[in-house]
Amino acid sequence: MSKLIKCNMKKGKQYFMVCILALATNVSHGQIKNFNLFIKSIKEKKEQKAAAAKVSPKAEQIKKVPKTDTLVKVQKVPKTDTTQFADLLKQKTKWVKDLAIKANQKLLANTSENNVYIFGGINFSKQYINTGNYNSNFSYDLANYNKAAFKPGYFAGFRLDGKYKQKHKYAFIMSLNKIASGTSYNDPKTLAPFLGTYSKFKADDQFFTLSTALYYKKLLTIGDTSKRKFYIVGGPSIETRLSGQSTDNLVNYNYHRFLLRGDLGLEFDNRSNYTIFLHYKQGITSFTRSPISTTMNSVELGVMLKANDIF
Amino acid sequence: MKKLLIIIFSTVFVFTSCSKDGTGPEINLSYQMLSEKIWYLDYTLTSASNGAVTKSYIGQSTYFVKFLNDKTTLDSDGITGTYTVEKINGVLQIHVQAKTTGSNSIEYIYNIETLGTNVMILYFQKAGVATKLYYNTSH
Repeated sequence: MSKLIKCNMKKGKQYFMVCILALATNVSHGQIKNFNLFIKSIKEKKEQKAAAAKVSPKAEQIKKVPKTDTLVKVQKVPKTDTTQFADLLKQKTKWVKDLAIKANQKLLANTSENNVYIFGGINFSKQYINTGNYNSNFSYDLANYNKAAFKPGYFAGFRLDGKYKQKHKYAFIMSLNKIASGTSYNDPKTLAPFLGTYSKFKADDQFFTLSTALYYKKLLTIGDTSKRKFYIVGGPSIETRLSGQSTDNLVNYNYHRFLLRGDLGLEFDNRSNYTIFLHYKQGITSFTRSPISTTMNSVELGVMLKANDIF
Repeated sequence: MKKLLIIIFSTVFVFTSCSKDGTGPEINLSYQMLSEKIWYLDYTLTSASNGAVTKSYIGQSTYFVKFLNDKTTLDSDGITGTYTVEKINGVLQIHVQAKTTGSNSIEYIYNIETLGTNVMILYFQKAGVATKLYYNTSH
C-alpha cells in the first residue's frame, strides 16, 4: 500500500495501473519506469513460456499447481493394461452405440406414422402330436393326457404400428405368453388288455414364451373407414420358449427352444380409441425334436390401446 | 482375420463339445414313477429259446411289490431290502438287494421295458428263457 501511495497520481491513470501491476507481479516500483516497456516485458515473458512449453518433450509437461504458485514437473505415467482395456471398452461401446443408432435410423428411415400400442388378452392353444417311432422307457396312459381341446392362457405385450414407405402398413409385435395347451395324439398305441391307449411321449401342457411377430396390415373398406376400421393382418411369428421342460421331457430334451408360426387375423379399430383383435396362429415348424412332430396352434383374442393414451 | 478364426473355432468347440446327458433326469423320473406305489403282478409272459411263448394271467393280485421313497422295498412273499434304479449299457434296470423271511440274502436285477404312472413292464433272462412281468397299480 505504501508503494501505491508513492505512485505519483498526477502522472495519470496509466501510471496508476502500472503501480497496481507492480504490486500484483511483485516487481519493485523503481523498475517500472515506462508503462509501455513494462507491458512489453510481460509479453516477452509470456512468449518465452509458450516457447518453452512447445520445445519440451511429449513425455514431460509443465503444470502450474494453482495453490502454491510454483512450477511442478509432472511425469506422464505410462498407460497400464486396465486403462488400455477401459479405453478399448469405451471405443467398442461407442462403436456399437453408433452402429445401433445408424441401424435404427436406417430401419425407421422409410417408416412413418409410427405408434406404440400396449395390448393384452386371452389365448387358446392346442398341440397336435405325431410320435412317429419315438421310443423311451416310459409310457403314459392317454386316458389321462389326451385332452383334445384348446386350453386357455393369457398374454401381454407391446406393438409398433406404422407405415413403410408411406404405403405398406405394418406391425411389429413383442409379447409374453402363458400358454396352456391341450394335446391331441394322432398315433396312440395300445397294449390290450394290459394297457389301453398310451404314448411313449408326454407332451408338456404349460409354456411361458416370448413371442416376436411382424405383420402386414391391410385396411378393409367396410363401412365408414374414418370412424371404424377393419384390418386383415398376417405374418410370421417366432415363439421363444422361456420356461423349462418337464422332467418327462428332460430325459430326451424333446422340446425345441423356438417355434415358427404363421399368423392371420382380423382387427377392429374403433375411432382410434381401442382396437380389438382376433389372431389365429398356425404352427409351421415342429415344437419338438424329431421323430416327434408337434404342431402348436393358437387363437388369440385381445385388446390394444395407444401407449400415449395410457401414459 | 486371426481374431475371426479364433471366434469361429471357439464357437464350434463350445457347441460341439457340450452334449446333454439325459441319464440323471431319466433315473429321477424312474424313481418318481416307481416309488410310493404298490405294484400288482397282472401277467407273466415267458419266451423259451425254442420260440414257445407262455402267457399266464395272475390277476387278483396274488403277488405284489412295494417300492418306497426311502429306497426300500418289500413284497408279498416277505422279501425286504433296498433298491436302486440304474442305467447300464443303455438299459434301465431295478437292482434289488434283499433278505428273505429266513434271512437269506438275495439279489436280483430287472430290466425296465416300460414304466408309467400306473403300469410297469419288467423283463429278465434266465437259462435262455426270457420272462416279462406286467405290473399294474390298480387293485
